[in-house]
Amino acid sequence: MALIELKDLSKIYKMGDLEVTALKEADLDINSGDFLAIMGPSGSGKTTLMNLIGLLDRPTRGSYKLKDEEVAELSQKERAKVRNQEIGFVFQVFNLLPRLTALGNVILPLTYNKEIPTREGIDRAKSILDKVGLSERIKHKPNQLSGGERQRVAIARALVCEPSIILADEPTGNLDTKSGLEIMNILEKLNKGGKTIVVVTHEEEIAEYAKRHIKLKDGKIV
Amino acid sequence: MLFLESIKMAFRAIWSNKIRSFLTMLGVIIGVSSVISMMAMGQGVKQGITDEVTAIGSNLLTVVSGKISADGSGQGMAGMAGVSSVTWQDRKAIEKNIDGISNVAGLMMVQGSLDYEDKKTMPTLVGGEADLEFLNLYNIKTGRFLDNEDVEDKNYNIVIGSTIAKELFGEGSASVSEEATADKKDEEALGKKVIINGEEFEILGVMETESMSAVGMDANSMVVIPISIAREMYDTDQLTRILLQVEDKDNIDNVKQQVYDLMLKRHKDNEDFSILTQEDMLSMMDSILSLITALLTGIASISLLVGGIGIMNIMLVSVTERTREIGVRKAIGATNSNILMQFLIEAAIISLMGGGIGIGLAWVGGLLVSRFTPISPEITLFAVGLAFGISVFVGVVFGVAPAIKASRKDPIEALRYE
Ligand SMILES: Nc1ncnc2c1ncn2[C@@H]1O[C@H](COP(=O)(O)OP(=O)(O)OP(=O)(O)O)[C@@H](O)[C@H]1O
Ligand SMILES: [Mg+2]
Repeated sequence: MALIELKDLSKIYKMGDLEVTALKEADLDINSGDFLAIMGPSGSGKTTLMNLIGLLDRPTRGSYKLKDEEVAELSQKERAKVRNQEIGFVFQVFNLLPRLTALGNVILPLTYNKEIPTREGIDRAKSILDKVGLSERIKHKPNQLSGGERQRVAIARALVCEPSIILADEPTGNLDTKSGLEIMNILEKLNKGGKTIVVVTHEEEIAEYAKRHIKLKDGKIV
Repeated sequence: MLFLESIKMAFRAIWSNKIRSFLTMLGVIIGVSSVISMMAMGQGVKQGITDEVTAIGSNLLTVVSGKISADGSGQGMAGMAGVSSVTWQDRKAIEKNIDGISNVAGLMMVQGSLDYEDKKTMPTLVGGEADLEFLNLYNIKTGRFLDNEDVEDKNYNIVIGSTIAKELFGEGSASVSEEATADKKDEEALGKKVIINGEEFEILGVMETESMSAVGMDANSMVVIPISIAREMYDTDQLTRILLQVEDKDNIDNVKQQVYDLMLKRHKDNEDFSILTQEDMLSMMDSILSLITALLTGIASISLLVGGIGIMNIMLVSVTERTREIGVRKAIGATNSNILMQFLIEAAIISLMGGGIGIGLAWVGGLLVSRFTPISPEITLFAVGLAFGISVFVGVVFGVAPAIKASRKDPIEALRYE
């Protein structure tokens, strides 16, 4: 049984009369413990696929099974819960809240999680920050951190609710090579620890960290 | 956890934009403080009048011009302006024909100015007579009140209120304590000659009251001249009112009926007068005051509306500014209702803080008013509760639209927002 099973998944954007098929009948299985790299030219539908896997977006057609459960038609509330508990996002532009400290950002998902007690969550957040090498930075605001550090805070945030999948859309796109490789090392370590990881990237060097690669072209997996 | 966290988030958001938050609150602050102030003033004036009427006693009857019902409707207090149907002859007839009255006095409010040396003042000029002294409307501080002789012999004597005394004789002897100074200028006033409408009068006494008199005049700024002189000077027999004191309080309804019958006969069955007990006066004042209070409170609540619109405006701006934050929160698991609550709570807290400050402001204002005017505003617990209730209500009502807008944002669009 695959962790994620996509079948005939399509996403069509309607802009007036114009229809843009961003993703076309995608079939894809991702197993637990996979480290998948999604590659392809700009506009090929990589982000679209990630958003569908991450339940940020609804497919126009097709089926999406997560842990053997159909999630394509879930309500807004149920999708939020799945995002909170099963999925961790890492974005190209970090997307930390500027008013909160590193620790504040990491514990933010706990606000929306009813299962993890606050105390336990904060302890866990601190130990994750320690693991990504930021134990000295927990009181820093995002604007007091380097790009690489910010992305590590974002990874810690993605991990705090112990999701089964980490989705990273060009996580190194805004970083220099060295910080980028550091991030990839962290993701690799997480994968070795059992997390399923999906990374979108343009760079071969980054993609080499992954165990498995797929390529998109004009919305189709090739 | 989530609710508490939302409150914390709201305070953080408010705090990170201190000046803007304060300006947003300002509308609610002004609204709440003016609503509370109006209610407090109304309550204070009402209480003051009730106290005073109680002090004067319930054996006083007042005959005035015009048909007035106890709820204050009707022709209004026609005696105060224009033609009065109540006359000196009515007053004489009452004295002659009605038993069980201990005192009766006619009262004629007239226009006129008073000159003393180079000073000029416009007092509440009243033609009065000796029996006024027994009606408990004021106290004589120094000297004496007009007596029957003054009225009958048309002596050019007057009694002035303490405010007038202060105005005319207030200067000098600054070194003495304030109370001593006050007493001193009252003393000084006695025997002084003043000019009213070209005639010279001598000051016989100084009187004062604690507050506004229930009969609608402030005795402190009143000048009483013999009614006989007033009748001649102004060439009229019209009285503003006739005041009578009933010997036996339990007999008041009977006396009132007798006076009514007499007046009706004298006015040829035309009921163009009213006879009011203190209770009537009280309920009349009460309903007039309630109406005024309600009206002013209503006007004040318009500023609350404006305050609410201010909150809505800023919240809409805030939602747009924080679009990306909303996207992030949704990505990490916030539901639409989580976001809705967050913004709603923020709006309610802004409004509530405004309400709190507004109540504080009204309280300070009340202290100032009671310090410098005879009114002592009373902020009731009800008013405070109402103010908080209204603040939350305003915040929620005007916060709903921005909060809904926030909650409905598509996470992908929101994350892409620059
Ligand atoms: N909200 C939208 N409305 C209309 N068209 C869209 C929308 N989002 C994406 N598209 C279109 O769908 C296609 C796929 O977009 P997507 O963002 O998935 O590409 P991508 O592979 O992530 O590109 P990049 O490498 O530049 O990030 C593009 O042609 C894009 O223009
Ligand atoms: Mg993309």
